[in-house]
Amino acid sequence: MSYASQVTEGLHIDFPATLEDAHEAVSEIISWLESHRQDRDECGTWELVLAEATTNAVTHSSSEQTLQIEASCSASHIQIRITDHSQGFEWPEEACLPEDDENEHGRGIFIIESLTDHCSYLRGRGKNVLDLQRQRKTAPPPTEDLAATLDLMTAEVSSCYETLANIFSLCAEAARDVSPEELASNWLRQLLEISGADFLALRMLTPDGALLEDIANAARLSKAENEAEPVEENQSQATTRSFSIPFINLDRTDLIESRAVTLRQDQWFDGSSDFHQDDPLSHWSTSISGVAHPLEIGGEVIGVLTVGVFCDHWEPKARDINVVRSLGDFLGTLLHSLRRRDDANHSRLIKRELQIAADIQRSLLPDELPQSATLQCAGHLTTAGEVGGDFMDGIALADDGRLFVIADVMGKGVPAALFATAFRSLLHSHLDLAAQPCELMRCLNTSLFAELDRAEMFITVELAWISADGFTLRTCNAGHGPLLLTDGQQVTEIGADGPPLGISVEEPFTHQEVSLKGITHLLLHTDGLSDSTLPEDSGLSRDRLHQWLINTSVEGIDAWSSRDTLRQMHHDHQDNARAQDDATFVVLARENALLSPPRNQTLTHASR
Amino acid sequence: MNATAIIAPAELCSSTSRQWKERITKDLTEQPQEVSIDLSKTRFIDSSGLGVLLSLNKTLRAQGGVLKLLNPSSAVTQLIELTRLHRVFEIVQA
Repeated sequence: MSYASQVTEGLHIDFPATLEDAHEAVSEIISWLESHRQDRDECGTWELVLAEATTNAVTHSSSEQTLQIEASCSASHIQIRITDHSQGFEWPEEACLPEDDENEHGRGIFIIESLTDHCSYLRGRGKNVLDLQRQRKTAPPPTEDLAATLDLMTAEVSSCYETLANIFSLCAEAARDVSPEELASNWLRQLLEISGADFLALRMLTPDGALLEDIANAARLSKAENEAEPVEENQSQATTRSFSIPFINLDRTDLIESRAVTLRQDQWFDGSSDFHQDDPLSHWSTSISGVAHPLEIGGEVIGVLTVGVFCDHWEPKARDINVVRSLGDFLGTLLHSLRRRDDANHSRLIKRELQIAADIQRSLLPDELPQSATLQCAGHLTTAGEVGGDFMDGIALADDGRLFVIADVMGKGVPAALFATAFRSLLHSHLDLAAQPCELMRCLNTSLFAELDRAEMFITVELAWISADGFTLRTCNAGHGPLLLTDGQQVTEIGADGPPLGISVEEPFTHQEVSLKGITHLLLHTDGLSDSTLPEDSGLSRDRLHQWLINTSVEGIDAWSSRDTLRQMHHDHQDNARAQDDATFVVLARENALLSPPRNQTLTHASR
Repeated sequence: MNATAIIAPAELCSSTSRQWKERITKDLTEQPQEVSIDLSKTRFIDSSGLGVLLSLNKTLRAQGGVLKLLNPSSAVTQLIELTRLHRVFEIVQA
């Protein structure tokens, strides 16, 4: 700060030589002095001096003449000149009070000289000037150091441009196909170069808001590290470090970064700070100082950016801190948006993938199941999600026999659908083995084993071959649920006799041959239809399924009506008892049930 | 005792003092023995104003009366003392 030595301000007033105009002019001068921070006493003194001086000038002038007052102020003085154009008068060499105290006149010049530090009256031809000066009692306002202000403004504007340019560059990089973590890492390195800091660390809140995740960090090599690993010219000295604390709990307010986020305030630290032993910042170096700055979007805290140096004390320039804060806030906002965008894209991809898998699964189903004079069949497939691993088929064989297949590929989505596709292709290319289900199963297992094993997946399968006359059943089971038979009096379960496909290439499969004489209904189903672990009185338990099958037989219900009833039971059971699951089943009906006329829509498919 | 109290204007200077003097001269036709000029409201006075007070003081004394200046402000008091008129006027601070 400095005070100007030259005149900084001035005021000039011309006025007619009357007492009223002089009074008005003096009032104007006093207002001007007040506006220049002269206090009330100082202004009062000047008012008295000027009143005396202008009265003298008016008294010696004619009313047609004009008087001038010029006021100026410097850092140390106030100077006022009063000019008149009268004949003037003799200014006494020594101003004195009248000898007679009671004399009514003769005090004006005494008052003027008493109250001014300098007073001179210059009497000229047709122009007289009274020059009055007083030291300022009140210091003038400090004048601005223009050079310093200009430097400050230039630095500020420069930092704004730098920030803006970096934000544009950041936007351009974000538009490329780059992961949020990679983007953050690149940018922390650049920020390190322009901020004058030694290290930067970025943590973002996890979606549940409970943890701060280490996203990226950047640090200059310390002096010791530099000596150990000298960097080549033009090679960046920034590096990243991995710590053993990728996450910190937000409720650990004894950790500086957690505290910055919880309190939503910058947390400064230096060599005198007491770091908790778990504090990740203490891992940077034995002596650090800096600030942890919380990142917010619209009032919501999203993370924390920590910037610091490898020494006990740091006084960053305001410009550097502004750049770090501005770019940090923007980087945080960008990362937050990118992560949300990635999450949304991921969801869209999964949805699309499941839709593709569902389309594949639907394409694998036969349009209709084969009917014959001795056997009715109706099937149903319920997909709980977009797609499941269930598969069913009913094939009319060349010798008028029938092959029914029900399978469950482990898992969901496209991988399960692809295995189901491969399974169906293999099945249809080996129908010559249909009458020997164990051979067919072995062939399927051998063909699929390598791929299933590599993918760590498996398929449970039930193959059921029925002879052309409808009296013989050969069934082979690979880890699947039991096939149910009923004659109206009891239910027989034909259970698993081999492992699922993809478990063992050595394991032999066998089939069971059963006479269907007296059997009215058969049920092939996946484990989604019934759960044997359920208690007796809840949902579609094993016993309830058995009872339903006996009732269906006793009442001589055809395959389609049976299918519809079971489908409804499963639907009610799903709604009331347990989470949704895929369920696939095929009902076969013989003997009494054949009295009903055949129907279309032998296979139904429902998505829930 | 015949006494009169007069309130002085806020400014008693060259542009106002003449009119004020004419007005109080008219008001004092009954020749009171004591006249009190209330200066409490007077923020500014110059040598012209002092001249009016001196003239009034002289007139009253000639009539056997006395002039008292009541409650002058500090600025007015300072001027009276600067011009040594405190030796002439009777100043009363209430």
